[in-house]
Amino acid sequence: MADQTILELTDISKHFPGVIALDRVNFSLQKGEVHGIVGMNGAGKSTLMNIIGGVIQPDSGVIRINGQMKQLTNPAEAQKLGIAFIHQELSLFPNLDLASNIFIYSLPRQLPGFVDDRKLEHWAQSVLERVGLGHLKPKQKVSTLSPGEKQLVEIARCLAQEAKILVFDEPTSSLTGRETETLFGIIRELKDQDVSIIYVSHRLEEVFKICDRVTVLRDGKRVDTVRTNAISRHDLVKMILGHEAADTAHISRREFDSVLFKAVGIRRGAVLQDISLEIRRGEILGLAGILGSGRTELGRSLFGLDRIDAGEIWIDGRKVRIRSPQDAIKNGIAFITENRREEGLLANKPVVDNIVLANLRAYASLLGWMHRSQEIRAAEQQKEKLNIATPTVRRLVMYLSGGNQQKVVLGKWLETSSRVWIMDEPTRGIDVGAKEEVYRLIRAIADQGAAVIFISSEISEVARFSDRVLVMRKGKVAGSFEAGTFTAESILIAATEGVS
Amino acid sequence: MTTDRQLQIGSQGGLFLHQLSQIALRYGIYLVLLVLCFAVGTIEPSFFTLQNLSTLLLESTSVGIIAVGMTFVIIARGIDVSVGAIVALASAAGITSIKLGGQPWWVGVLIMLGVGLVVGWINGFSSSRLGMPSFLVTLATMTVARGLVTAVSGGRIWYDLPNIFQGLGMGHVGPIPNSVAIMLIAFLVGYLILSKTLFGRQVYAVGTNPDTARVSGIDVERTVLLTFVLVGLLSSLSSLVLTARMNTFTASMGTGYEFSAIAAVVIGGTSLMGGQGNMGGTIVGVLIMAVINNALNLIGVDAYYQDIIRGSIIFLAVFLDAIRQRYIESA
Repeated sequence: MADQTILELTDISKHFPGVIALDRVNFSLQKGEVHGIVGMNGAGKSTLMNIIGGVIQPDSGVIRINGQMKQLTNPAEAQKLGIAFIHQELSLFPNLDLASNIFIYSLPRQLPGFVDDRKLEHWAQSVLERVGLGHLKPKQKVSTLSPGEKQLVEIARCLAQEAKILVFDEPTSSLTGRETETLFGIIRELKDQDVSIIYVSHRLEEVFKICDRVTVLRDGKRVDTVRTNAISRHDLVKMILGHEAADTAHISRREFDSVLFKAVGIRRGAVLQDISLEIRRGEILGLAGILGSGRTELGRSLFGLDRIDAGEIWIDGRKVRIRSPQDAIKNGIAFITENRREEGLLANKPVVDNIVLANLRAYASLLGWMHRSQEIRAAEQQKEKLNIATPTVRRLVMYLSGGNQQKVVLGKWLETSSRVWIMDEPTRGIDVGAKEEVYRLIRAIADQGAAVIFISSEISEVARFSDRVLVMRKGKVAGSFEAGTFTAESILIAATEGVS
Repeated sequence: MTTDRQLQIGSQGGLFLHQLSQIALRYGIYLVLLVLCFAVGTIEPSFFTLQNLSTLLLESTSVGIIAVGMTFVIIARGIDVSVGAIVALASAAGITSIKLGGQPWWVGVLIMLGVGLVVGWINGFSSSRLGMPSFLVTLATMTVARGLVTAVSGGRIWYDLPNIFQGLGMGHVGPIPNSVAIMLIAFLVGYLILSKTLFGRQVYAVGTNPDTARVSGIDVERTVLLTFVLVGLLSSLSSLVLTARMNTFTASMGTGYEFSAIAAVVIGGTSLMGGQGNMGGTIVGVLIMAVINNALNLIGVDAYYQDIIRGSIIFLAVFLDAIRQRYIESA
């Protein structure tokens, strides 16, 4: 096979306010190649993919497709040039049949406004065969398919648009083992048909299995591009983390008291399979895992937001029943959700209304009469204590910066005097300075005797900040590390490959 | 450099306009009421007579009482179109039990209140715990209730109710007719519950963002259910006031009340998207609707033109709500 470059990016840079997302990154894709892209969260993978997809434009740098300089000013432009995305969250219409889904962008017309059904079915059949779904009927509804089949239909749709470059972003996160194998088979066949594939994944074993070459990104820079058969897994992990991070283990010198929070045998469908954990007073337990590992689901289940099938929760040596957030709050559990705006805040209400929200009854008389002055005073105190940058507590939360919004969420739970804190991505979407402040606040909460579960997709953050670490993978505990026994590297390996 | 400065001035100008529009959106409604009264008074001087103003208020009472409860429902992201049918069914059941069943007046009143409680509870339970869309739930209960009205009353019209009803309908508290006094009390209590109590806070929280409310330990389903029970009970109260004032039961009672009550609440600035609004706005909304109805009658506009005008006003109110929402989102 003669090497023929279909896509070439040269010196691509992209700045966002306060961040250099990409710094003179080079990338090239050969015809018929499967090219992996790996890196930690924030390494610049998404930004790079968004540039290739025409969603955002680079500040500088050159994009060549088949040797010709192109500007990808919008997604439609990229699509026209043969670049197609297979989305993580499927973008099919469940109530339409396969054929219509595949040709939704270019339905064959008969008379103006009428679809030529015969032609549509015929076309669809041939595309379905290309992705190994020849046994399905084009008239079948998408909702009858399994997640794996749906993904293949999505690929079929891209092929129907004559895509030459397919971009996969974590394609196996919702697939079973067998479906993953099928997908890999199809990817190999597409390769033989000279389709080029960009494969973004956290799962290193898959990268080694399917990719010809892999590009490693770290902190917005390209570390290197290597052939997968010329590098060991260990070296790849080192490249992803950067050498410094790998050799310094976080050593917690703290002494902890008795166990405050204990969960035993938590089960919820296939999402959580027999999870147990213990946290002592003053301790921060890091909970790591890649997307779809069940880390967020565990947090939600412990807080009573999702119903569990089995399992016990003990607080302070007492078994408690938690079926709803009300139960959880009554038992002194606080929950900081991963999506602040959607579940953490009343965005178009004042700061004060948010701060008192989880403990409204404390500001009301027996008959339910609210004492507004007490609410204001409580909010003022939290504003002072947490250093929330707002002229007044009557300001609407949506006008605050991300970091200050997160402090409002923290303040809300501080008002409840909770002893068990579940924090899901507490530093997501806030700038570096505010991040340090949030870390300090979390540590202060733990130091006052609380048990903290710190859930994060940023492995370096978990490694640096936790006293102990639990790693989840596909709904199970994939690794458990005592203080001083973990590094970012060992966590990453456990999260992506599983260790005993 | 220049572009930077232009940008800054531009955004400041934008901010000013934004603030102006916010003020207009917040207080404009009071202005509208004043201008409207003034305009009607100019065209038809008899508008400002004591006689007319008292008629105007009297006729707004039934819808006004319901609008108090509707404000809660809509702030919590629901809607209730069964209120007019509850008015009719409560009266049908209560009065029939007195006239045909020979029950004392107070049993009839309790039955009237019971009807609102039960229908309100069904509406609330279905829209919250069963997760059904409240518009369709209440459309269904409205239809069932209207059917029951005919079944219960057998198509009869009842006059000559017990004296106690007449006393309630005709009596005064000082210079104020009883039904107006009841409406004012409903507004006052509604205002206090909505803006000064735990339940009021919960209603606003649920309407602003039910997911955040749930995570913060608020029983979202219970809160929504209670708003429907409240509007059901107030519909019964409205039925009692209307029946007493007319000293009559007819099967067509309360027709179109759902429409007028929702319109009054929305005109008063309560957003159909939930979380925004207050009782003061609803009072003004009820008065605006009352003044318009009164004016149309004073000036002698044909009935079908009246409907066209009323419909257009609702359209305008919802349109303004949509614009307001866009302002909030773009902020």
